[in-house]
Amino acid sequence: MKRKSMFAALLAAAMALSMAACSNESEPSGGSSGTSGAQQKFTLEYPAHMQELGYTNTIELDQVPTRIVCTSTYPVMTLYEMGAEMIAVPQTTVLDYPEDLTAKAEQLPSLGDTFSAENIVELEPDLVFMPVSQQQDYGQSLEDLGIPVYYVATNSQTHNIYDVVREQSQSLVDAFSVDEESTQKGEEVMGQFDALDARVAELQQTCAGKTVLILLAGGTNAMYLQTEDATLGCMAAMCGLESVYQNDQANSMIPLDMEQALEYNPDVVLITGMGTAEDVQTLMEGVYEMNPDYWYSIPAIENGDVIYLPGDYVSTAGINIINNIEDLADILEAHFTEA
Amino acid sequence: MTATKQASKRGKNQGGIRLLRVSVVWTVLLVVLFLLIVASIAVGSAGYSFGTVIHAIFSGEQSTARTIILSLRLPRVILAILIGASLSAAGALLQAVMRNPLADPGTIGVSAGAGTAAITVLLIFPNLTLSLPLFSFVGAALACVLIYALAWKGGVDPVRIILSGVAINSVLGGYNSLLQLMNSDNLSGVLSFMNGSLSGMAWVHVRTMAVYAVIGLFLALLCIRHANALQLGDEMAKNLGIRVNASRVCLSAVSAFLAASTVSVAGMISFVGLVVPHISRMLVGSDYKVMLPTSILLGGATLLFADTVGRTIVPGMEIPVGIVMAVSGGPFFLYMLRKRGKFNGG
Repeated sequence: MKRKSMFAALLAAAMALSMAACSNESEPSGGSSGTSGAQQKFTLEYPAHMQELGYTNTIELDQVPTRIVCTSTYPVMTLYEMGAEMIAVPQTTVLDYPEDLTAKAEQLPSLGDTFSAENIVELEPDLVFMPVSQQQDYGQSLEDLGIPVYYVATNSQTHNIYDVVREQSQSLVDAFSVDEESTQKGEEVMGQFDALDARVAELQQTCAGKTVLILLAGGTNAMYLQTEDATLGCMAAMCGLESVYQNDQANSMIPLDMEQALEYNPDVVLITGMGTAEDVQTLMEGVYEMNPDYWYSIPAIENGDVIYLPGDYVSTAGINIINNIEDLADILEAHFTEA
Repeated sequence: MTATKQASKRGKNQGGIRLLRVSVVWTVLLVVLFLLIVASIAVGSAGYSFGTVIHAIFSGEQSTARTIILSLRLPRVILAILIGASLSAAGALLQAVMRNPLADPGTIGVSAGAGTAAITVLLIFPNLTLSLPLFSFVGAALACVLIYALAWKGGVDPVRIILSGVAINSVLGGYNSLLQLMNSDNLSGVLSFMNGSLSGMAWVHVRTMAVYAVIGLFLALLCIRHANALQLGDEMAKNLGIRVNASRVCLSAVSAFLAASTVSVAGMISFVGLVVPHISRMLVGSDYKVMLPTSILLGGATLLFADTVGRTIVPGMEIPVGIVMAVSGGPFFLYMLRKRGKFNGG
């Protein structure tokens, strides 16, 4: 009896030791998830700009999601670069999705901000990324069905779009850095922002003191002035250009006052609109010819200090903004170097 | 004095009073229009004195004032007058055709057709944007023809025109909404067109609109007799020797031509064609011999005033003239509802 008790005690001790050894693994660096692999707990927090809007809750899942649905383009490329498993992404003309993403993920059709909620539910997602604008119509319903929904901002009244994208990306990187590989990917993602900051820091010296007039050409008599709160305005400001229109009312775009425009005298004019840069240029050259006395009295236009940009600069999609800003930086550097 | 002579004398007196009244109204309108022109040229983001305006126009010296006045304000002033006059005449003719005080160019599909064509070009074929006026004119004309073709049943009946117009407007409106939903990121040009704007107008637009307006207004004045007859009802008009269906089609065609030309140049501007003829009736009565010219003068002044307000009321920003007209036209419409008995003038 005594021998049996001792054997049982030894066996129990051995089992306890082996269980302790199995559970004693090191925590992964970065991220806010538990142990590695699909069994880890997953925690996704909202960035500062969303918390200011009242989104203070945290998405907590028992494991890293593997059936992610995005109805906004904003988080898609960050999630892709993090290796997150998406099963559906929104149809869009703003982004060219990588082939391996379109091979795995269904593209959800939508009409503006409307899409089929049934489609989403049928996909049985374990996490949905949705723009704030869709919360009332769709988000609440999905949450009531027990589907976790994480809302993303696609614009902001108080932050420029680059900061919004950066903070959003950081939150996603923190959440999806669940192992060494994904942590490495997260560092590469955030490294792109750091590299861009360094790039534009150099350009800011070239553009120091230079002013810019930023226009959106909606048609022959539909000219809109973009402020630094708009996508292109934000990009230009990052490159060191000072907008001729300083707006204190948080409007990103206002109809151009053509009389006042004569007083701006910018060093360069950036014009964007529908279609390619060539389409925008063709349209504007037609506009100039309609009223040459007016348009060529603006020195920058008369001197050809005009840069035409494609419709990609009207709106952006998440970390794609980095590519747009890099392209713009190249264009501005070439322009001011040649001048 | 016999009763007949008394009645004749009373008639002559009334005719004299009416003539005096019309003369006073036209004189006042012309003076108001002149003052508006002067004020509109002088005010804006930069205010100029009358002397500065004269110097800028006639001196030949290049200056910012000269550029603003000659390249921006003067074409815009002339265009506002031409467009306001054309829309008012179009609305007045349509109200005679429909015998309905709510008739305006939108009823016959001009706005919907032009809007559909414009939205299609702006959102799907942006490389054709420079040809937008042509496409919107064709769109307006096609929508109008379609409505009348659908309303035709051995003749043109005002009620059928209105019902066809409602149906076509609904279909085209749905299509426009769908396109806008599908391209919700790129609506800046569409919004400008749908709200009606004179921003950025140049002399090339004035030349285009002047041709349309001269032709259209001349034809409208030729339609006065027919418009007066149609107001009396179909039977009375036939007894007066008027071919009712042909007259309706002709008046509608002139109205559509005038309205389509304005939409193709400046986008959709509402309420001018609806409200101005009613004001004209209140001032000079329902006789188109005096009501139509009054509408033309008053329409030009009204739109010029609205455009001037729109570009000056908020410093640094322009409110499209279509929005100004919609905001101010609504309350006036309510006022007219409360004064229903005066819809057809004195």
